[in-house]
Amino acid sequence: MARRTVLIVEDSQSVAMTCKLQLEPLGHTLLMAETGQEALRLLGDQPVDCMLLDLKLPDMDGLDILRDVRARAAPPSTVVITANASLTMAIEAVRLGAFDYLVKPFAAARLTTTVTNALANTELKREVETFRRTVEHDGFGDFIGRSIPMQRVYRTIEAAARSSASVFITGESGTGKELAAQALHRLSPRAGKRFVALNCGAIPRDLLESTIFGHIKGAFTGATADQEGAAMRADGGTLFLDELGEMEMGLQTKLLRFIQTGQYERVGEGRTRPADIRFVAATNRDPAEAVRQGRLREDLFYRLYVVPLELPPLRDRGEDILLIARRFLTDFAQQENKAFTGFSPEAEVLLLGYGWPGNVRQLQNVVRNAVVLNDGAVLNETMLPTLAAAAPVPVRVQEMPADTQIRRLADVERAYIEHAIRVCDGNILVAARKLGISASTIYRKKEGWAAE
Amino acid sequence: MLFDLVQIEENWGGPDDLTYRTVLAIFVPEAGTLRAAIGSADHAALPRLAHTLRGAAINVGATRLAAAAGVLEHAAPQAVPVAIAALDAALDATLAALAAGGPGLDG
Repeated sequence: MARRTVLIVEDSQSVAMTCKLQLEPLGHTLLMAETGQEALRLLGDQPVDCMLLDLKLPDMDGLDILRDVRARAAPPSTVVITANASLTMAIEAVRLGAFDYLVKPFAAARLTTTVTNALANTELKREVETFRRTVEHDGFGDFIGRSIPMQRVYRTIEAAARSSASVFITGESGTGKELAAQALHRLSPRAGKRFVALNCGAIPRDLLESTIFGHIKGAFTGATADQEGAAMRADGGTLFLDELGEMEMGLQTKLLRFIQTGQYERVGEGRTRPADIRFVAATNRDPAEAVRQGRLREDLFYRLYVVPLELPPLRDRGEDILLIARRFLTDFAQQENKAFTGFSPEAEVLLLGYGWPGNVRQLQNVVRNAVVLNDGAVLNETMLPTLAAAAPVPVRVQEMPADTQIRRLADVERAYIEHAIRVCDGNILVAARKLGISASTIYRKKEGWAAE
Repeated sequence: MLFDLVQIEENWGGPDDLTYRTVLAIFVPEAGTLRAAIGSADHAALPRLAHTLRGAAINVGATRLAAAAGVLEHAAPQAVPVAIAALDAALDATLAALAAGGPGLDG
């Protein structure tokens, strides 16, 4: 299991130390609180995954803490610690939503097992919660879509956001890499500080260093005043470096040093400054390939590739295409003062069948163009000419056998598949690709024919 | 019986366990602090302080002290002086045993 945070709320120092020593081997982050107020403060400061709670605290009733925690988003599973005489209270706590209770005295193995189960329970509850929320709202943060590949993306974002580990996002252009980086920032304990995004491919090479680190007056021609860089603005927050593979190697070395030491130098300045930054990097191509080609430093790559996050291309997201298209249609219709309320079924078929090489950004442009250039309540297929031109040609009636005899569909299918395999010189893989089915489907069908 | 050796064996693997010894080193001053707090506390605060002491005592297997703390925790107001005296005696005996090397020596 990944590193999790466990909060121990216990007013007896020796009992708290017992829990701490027994849980340390699990490798989780342990937080200690002696009072209810302290516990609530710690719960507000950072995400907590499991809470060990003594019900009798000096300043407040443990049950009140339990109620408070349950009302929070993504609450930790709580294990109540009790001395045997107050078992009735422990049972009351479970009724109020505590995950389990431990009766003092307990063995180390009992404690670690209970905490591990509680952590698994938290994980599962959060997974279900993400699922429920995305289905309810058709999306997550600024993402629209509830397809299975996107559910995975949302879960990774939620899990990674709580830590300060670097995240490396990959995905074709237009898949929403910056949205993902923003979501990571907004869900993190750094949300109160700034999110700074830089596109390394869009900034002129000789300006990139001073854009990231800043410069002092006179550092180079045109540097007429001191200038703070992205590093300073993102201090305490998140720095998103898009198209990292476009950064020249010398600067990659400086960036690596910055990540390793948490210190950087403004251009032209002789002293280092500290910055506490969470790094999120992205490339639209395979970063491992960039490393092989020598465009991305291997050590920098591994430093940043702690949590990989791959965004699926739009064509793999099924019905998400329609959810997104409808949202764009509503938004653009409102902006442009048009009456569009939806797509025709034929237009939806076109949207679903298209390959979307430019992903969501392309879908956005296609819908915007259609809205701007046309009028009406329904956006139909004739208003999407680029998609219609790319659509596969439907089988024409002339290609059908001229006779009037109707054959069994299964026979026609078998004949046509065998025909395709012959045309492809017996190569089933090629035939399957051209037929738009998987090779295993052909093998399965062949088995069926052999059995007939 | 000052210490429940069976429980210490089961939960800690024995009185010489390093974690157990580390916790005892925290328990001793903690028990002293709680004793002082109980001595100067008003009646309303007594049950909670006694409860904390009982929990800490149970945790290290200090059976007699835990029982005495439990009596004070639930004592009627007129029984409090007697309960505190019994708790003091149990604390003295427990801390003395710990100072002499801890559970396992006293039987």
